Amino acid sequence: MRYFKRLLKKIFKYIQPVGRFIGRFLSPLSLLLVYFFIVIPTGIFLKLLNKDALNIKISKKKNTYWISRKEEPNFEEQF
Amino acid sequence: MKKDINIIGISCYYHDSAAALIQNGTVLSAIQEERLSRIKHDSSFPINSIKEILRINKLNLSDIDHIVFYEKPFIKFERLMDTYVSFAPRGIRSYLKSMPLWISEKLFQKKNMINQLNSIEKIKNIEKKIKFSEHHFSHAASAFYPSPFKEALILTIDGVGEKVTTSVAIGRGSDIKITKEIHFPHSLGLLYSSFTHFLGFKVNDGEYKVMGLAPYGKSLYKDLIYKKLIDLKEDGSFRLRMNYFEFATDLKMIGKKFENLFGSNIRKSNEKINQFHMDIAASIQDVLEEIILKLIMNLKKNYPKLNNLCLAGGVALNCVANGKIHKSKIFENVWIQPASGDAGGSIGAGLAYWYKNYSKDYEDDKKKNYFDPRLGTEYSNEKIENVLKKFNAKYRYLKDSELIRETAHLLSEKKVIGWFQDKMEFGPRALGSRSIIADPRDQFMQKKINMKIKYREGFRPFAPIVLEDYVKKFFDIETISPYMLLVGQVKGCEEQKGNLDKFIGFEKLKNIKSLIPAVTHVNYSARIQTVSQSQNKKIYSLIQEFHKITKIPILVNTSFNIKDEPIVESPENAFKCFMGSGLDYMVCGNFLLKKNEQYND
Ligand SMILES: [Fe+2]
Repeated sequence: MRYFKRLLKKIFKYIQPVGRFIGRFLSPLSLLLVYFFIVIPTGIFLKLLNKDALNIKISKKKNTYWISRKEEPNFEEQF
Repeated sequence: MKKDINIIGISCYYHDSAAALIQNGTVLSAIQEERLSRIKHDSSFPINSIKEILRINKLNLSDIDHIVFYEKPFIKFERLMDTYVSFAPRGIRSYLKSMPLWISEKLFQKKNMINQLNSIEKIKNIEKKIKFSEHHFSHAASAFYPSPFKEALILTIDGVGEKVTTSVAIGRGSDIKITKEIHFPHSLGLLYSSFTHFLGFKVNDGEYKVMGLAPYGKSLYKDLIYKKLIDLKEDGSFRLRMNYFEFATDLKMIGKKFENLFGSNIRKSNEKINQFHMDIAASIQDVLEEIILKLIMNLKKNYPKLNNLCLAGGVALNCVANGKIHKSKIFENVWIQPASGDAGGSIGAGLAYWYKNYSKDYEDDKKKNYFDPRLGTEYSNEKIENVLKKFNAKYRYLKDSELIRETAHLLSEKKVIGWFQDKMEFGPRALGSRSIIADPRDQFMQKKINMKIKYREGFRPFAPIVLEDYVKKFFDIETISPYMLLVGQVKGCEEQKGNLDKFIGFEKLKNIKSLIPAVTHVNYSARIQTVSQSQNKKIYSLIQEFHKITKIPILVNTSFNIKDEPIVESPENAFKCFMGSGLDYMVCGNFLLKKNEQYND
């Protein structure tokens, strides 16, 4: 998890300026392309795997919807 | 002597931005940006608040050791992406609207903050000073550290912060540990806001109107809400049935399916409020209270040794629910952060960071019995007089004792008075520093203030401010309520109950029989604020004097502003509001102004 976070941080460092650039010039069309070729397929893929990323489903079996947490908040990162 | 550790907490970019200064673990100042920018619910970077806080405390930006933002932007972004993926292709409209903003701006909030801070003062390595708390951790910290408890259970409930909508934490000494959470889209705040929207009020603003409307109705739709909209477990945890809600995928809260469920369209804001709307309000308020009580009851079972409960998050501003929590006595003591909305996250973020990193270096106990919410700017008589002169106002200077005596007399003669004293309160309520005050005995006072000053049709009564020593005589609450966060019953009205059934809808409010009708709601409840001498000496003495004249130790207390404007902050704001409204008098510091003496020549 720690390693993953450090990696993410590095990635973000590099894509920030790129993202800024893209953000300024990205047309709604390319956003649409991203939606149709990435967002929707990922959604379908998750559905096929029966993954419920947002935990949307109502469950009769579960006796609680609480999600327990141990991780302490850090203050250094934006994630 | 140890060097002072100065921390600025910031909350912004979503709703109600604010900044707070925490010095060595104590909140010295906190200001909501809207009060300075005069833009209601201003959510932009609180540049004015930061400048003002530095000025008040005679600090430069370079004296600040850390700047703590109240939430984590990237987690919020991740939640957004998760939502689009999970709901695709529902949500494409919202995606197209919000993505460009995120990619070009919101993902770079840190950069934006640095730029803003640089405009105040250029400091080397400022980016190293910027820290990020978590949304609900900030709420929890704002509820626990300022509370009088050394140990408490902390419950935060709001719309959503990053991924979380509800959190439970344990506070012990300087430590807060989050133990469990409920995640987006399952949210009591968003459930309540969906009904706010359905009833034709503004989301994130009109929720208190729903609460105020509820006593007019009957909880007829409670079962339907439980059956169709929410799945509630035995322990009080819940999930929303998302096919009825649109907030995750669209730019609006609810749609056709929700409307069909209740057999009615979303009320248009100019459409008349009828009994159906009142019943809907009563039902959702009922459901909210039941779920919160169930949650709390089960938390008590999990932590039987904890006797103290702290609350924060937007839903903790629901004072009717708070009143029931108090009354239930599930937890012996309850403390609610008066700035429970996101503005209060600024206090929490700063406190959280200090306690995590510095509290061990400080031996002395930071716990106080009373958290004073007056954290804004104070204006001296000299400053006030300069402003009054600038406006060519006619005013009289009165010594403290004369001022109190004369104001109390005017109040007893049913004059409505703008009351401007001390530092401004932090949080959504005016608590006696920037208040409009009046005589609660007057049956027509509620209408008069609404028509002449607030320019609105009010179906809610105003709140009473009562001397702490007399609260039990007039109301059925067993505790103090210095932040106007509890609703209780007005005593001596027991036989009156039921009498209002013969009146329809809003007629009920005009026919209340009570010693204090201006502050009594149609179910004979009141949103109570208690005040003691040590909490606010000036308004305490004023009510004491009013008590001597009228035998009633209570005043009407509503915020000093007109409709759709933030509460007045400065003497300028106050004077303009005084002149632009039907206020009879204004007391500003030690100056008394009479309306019909202004501009007479
Ligand atoms: Fe919040």
